[in-house]
Amino acid sequence: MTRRLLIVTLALVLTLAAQAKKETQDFVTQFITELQTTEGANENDYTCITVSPQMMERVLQMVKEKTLEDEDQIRGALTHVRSLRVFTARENSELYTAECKRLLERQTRHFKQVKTEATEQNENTNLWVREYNKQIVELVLINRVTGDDLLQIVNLTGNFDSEFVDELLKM
Amino acid sequence: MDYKYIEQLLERYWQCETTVAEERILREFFSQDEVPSSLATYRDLFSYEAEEQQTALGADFDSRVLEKIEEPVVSIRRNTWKMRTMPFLRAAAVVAVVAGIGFAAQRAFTVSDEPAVSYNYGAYQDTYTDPQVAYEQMSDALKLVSDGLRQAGLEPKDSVKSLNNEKL
Repeated sequence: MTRRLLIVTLALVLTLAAQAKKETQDFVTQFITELQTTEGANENDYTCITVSPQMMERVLQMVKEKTLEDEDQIRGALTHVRSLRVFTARENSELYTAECKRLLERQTRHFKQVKTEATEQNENTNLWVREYNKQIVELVLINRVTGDDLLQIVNLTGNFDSEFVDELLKM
Repeated sequence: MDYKYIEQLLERYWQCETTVAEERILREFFSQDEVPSSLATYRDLFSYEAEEQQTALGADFDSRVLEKIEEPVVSIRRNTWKMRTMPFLRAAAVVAVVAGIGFAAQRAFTVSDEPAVSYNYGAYQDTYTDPQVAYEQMSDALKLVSDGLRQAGLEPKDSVKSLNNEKL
């Protein structure tokens, strides 16, 4: 009887552990983790800003209260965003850009690049998206300014539909 | 007939003073068909001994005793692979049932318009405490993304399909 009870309890614990929702790391979190083992990467080269979903709620509340007239597009787009992370490297941008692209290319199961025809204007800009159930849930923009040795990675999570794209393109 | 001698023997018998020979006399006396009524009450006592001596074990006595005292037959079952793995199979069945219920419950209670990917928001540490500063950073980031989308060749009114289908 005790043995049976033990087996059932163990089974329940294992099941609940398996049922526990697995958390996904956003791209910038993964990237910074990756940099900790990357040769040549130095924490002093880069910074990262974070706007959490809690802060996003406060921002939306503030925007609603202030009703900034000329910021309609931003307000519209903001409602689709849950979080923002911006990675900025002001040194060794070439190294970080290469590492970032390598990480994304390793994760083609999750991230897909929005392919564009290469032009002089966009050669240093790449856009990657993560989908779930045909819905874009994460957006990664890589922007490198070679002259300034600057790399910016904008990482948004949220619900990015056609309305969001339209709002952004109007900006 | 004088039964004084018998009465004396009986008296000695009650006093436990009779010899084996005297007791045999008493038994023989009481085994007679006719015993005086004054002594008839003692007849059963002496005839009981004689009757009991004739009692013998039945022919099936030994077999019945042996039947009672023999050890119960224990059947030995082989501990097969199936029997050994049965507890694990049961555990797996419980896991399957609970997982099934959990999955069904999760499906039933999931809000449909929420992205099913669960991000690590719990680990986020806000850089800013002032929503105004966060808003300004957000605006800059969105403008950067807007430029990126435009550079990707998307035009206003392009649907999200442009992002997740046609351009990929």
